[in-house]
Amino acid sequence: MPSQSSQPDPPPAAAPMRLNFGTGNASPRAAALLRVPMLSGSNQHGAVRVHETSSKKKKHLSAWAVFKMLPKEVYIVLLIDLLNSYRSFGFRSVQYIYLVNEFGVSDLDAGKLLGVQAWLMVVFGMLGAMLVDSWGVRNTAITALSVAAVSRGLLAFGQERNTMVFALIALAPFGEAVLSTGIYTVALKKLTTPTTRGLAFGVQYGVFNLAGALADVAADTLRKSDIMLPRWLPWLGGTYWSGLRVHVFFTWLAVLAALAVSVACLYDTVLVPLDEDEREAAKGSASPGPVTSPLLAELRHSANAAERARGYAVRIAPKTAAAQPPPLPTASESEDEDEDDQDEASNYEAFEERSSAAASGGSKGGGGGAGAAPQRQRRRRRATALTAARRLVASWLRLAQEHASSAGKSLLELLGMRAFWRALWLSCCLLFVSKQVLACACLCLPASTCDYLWLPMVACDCLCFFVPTECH
Amino acid sequence: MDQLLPPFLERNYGEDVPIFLIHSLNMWIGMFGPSLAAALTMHLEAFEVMLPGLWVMALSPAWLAFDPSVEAVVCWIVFLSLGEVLWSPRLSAWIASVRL
Repeated sequence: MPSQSSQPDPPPAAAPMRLNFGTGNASPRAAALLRVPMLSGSNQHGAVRVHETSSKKKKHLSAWAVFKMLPKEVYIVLLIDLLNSYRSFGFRSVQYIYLVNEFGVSDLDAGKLLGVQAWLMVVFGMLGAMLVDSWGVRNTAITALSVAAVSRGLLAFGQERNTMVFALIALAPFGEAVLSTGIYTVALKKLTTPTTRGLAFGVQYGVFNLAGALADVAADTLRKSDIMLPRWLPWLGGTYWSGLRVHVFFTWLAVLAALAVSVACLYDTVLVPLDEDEREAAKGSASPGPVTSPLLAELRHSANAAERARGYAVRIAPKTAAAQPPPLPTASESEDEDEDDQDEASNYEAFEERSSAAASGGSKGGGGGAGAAPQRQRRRRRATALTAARRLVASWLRLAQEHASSAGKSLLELLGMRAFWRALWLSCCLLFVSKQVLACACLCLPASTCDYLWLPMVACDCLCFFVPTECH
Repeated sequence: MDQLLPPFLERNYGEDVPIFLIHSLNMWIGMFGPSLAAALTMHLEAFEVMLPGLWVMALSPAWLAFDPSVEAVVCWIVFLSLGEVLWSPRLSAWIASVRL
């Protein structure tokens, strides 16, 4: 083990070392966890701790000590979350008044527009979750923030109703919902250990709410007065902007800042605990995949003093399985497949020759001659390519069939689980209780001008009385 | 709340009402409340905390039924937020603990 002084310098945050995880090679200490399949057809496992394996006693750490254990990449995620939440809340609370006052939209039209946008956000939220898995946090964040910057810019600077509708319906759902779903959850989960995760999520919840509170205070401060833009500004100089428009402009600046930070500092990093006990505790709940022993040894060797003291190293995450090319066949498989290809190609060639001979009616007398050899070679190459393509498609179909069969079995088992139906019913009740549904109450706009505002809300909320108490 | 509250306050009680400051009560309570609620309810099971939180949040708009006023709106937001800080973080924790 090299001494601390000989340790290499920590890699810069902008370009951490790339790490490749192996698959398999489970840690021998994994035997401490009895891993049982929850659904027989799936690869998902529930972990049940059989006995305490750690020889060390768990140390009780103060919140500050745990906070200091967080890697600096977490602060970058939190900063982006702060800016993005400011952008999101900054417009969400003023959007109804903004549409009516700035674009002359009627109550009914504003309700329709925001209702359609809310539905699109649900759809794009699901899309965002899939994008984070396949593209990674960095690519998804940059793409979504770029779209959000255009959308918010159109809302801040646009005067036309069509511009507003385009920004609100065509661009905003992608920019908003893709970022709001799981992107920070995924990033934070990858950058924390079971010890630090609770605090990291708590801080993220606080940051998220702080941004919203600051946005509300800014909106209340700015909305009361109109502002004349400086005359030296091109296009807009000398025009008056309402306080709300100035507020929306500041939210646009927040998007640009979030985009700049994402481009400069946000990477798909993952935290790998160097301590065996931490790695074991992280199994089943942490994102880092299984690390092979040689890789872990290499990681420990390359870790600097600070990383050793903290007990983990942060490296660029490996590409997701979906993004990786299919594994190459082994040598024996390749030989077998080559032979098969040759056979199939020969058959195909013979078939083509017979077909062409039949088509020409044998009038050309056997098809021999000087040009026959290259032609045969071309045919052979084409036949080989065709059989290879056919083989690839067949393997895809076989794989898809296997997955579909496995998914079908899992679904049937899931539908038979009582816990699943309880959780589903709970989700339905929470949907109506949550403040997001109160946001959808914009469809009941006529009620907002009378004193009976509470009626639709209480009607929706009463569904929570049916939350199954046996969920305990 | 995000959509309906601002126009409701503005149209019924005028532009001088601090609409967004009232709205921000939800955020301020959401920022400081969860850690306090977590400390106070740590010894209880998730559903023992979530169900009362849901009841508090569900009944919070009833303040407007008794007395439609700015004060009632403040009470609505405060109780809604108190209910939310009780159930929302515990729901997240419960989801995280359900590992398939």
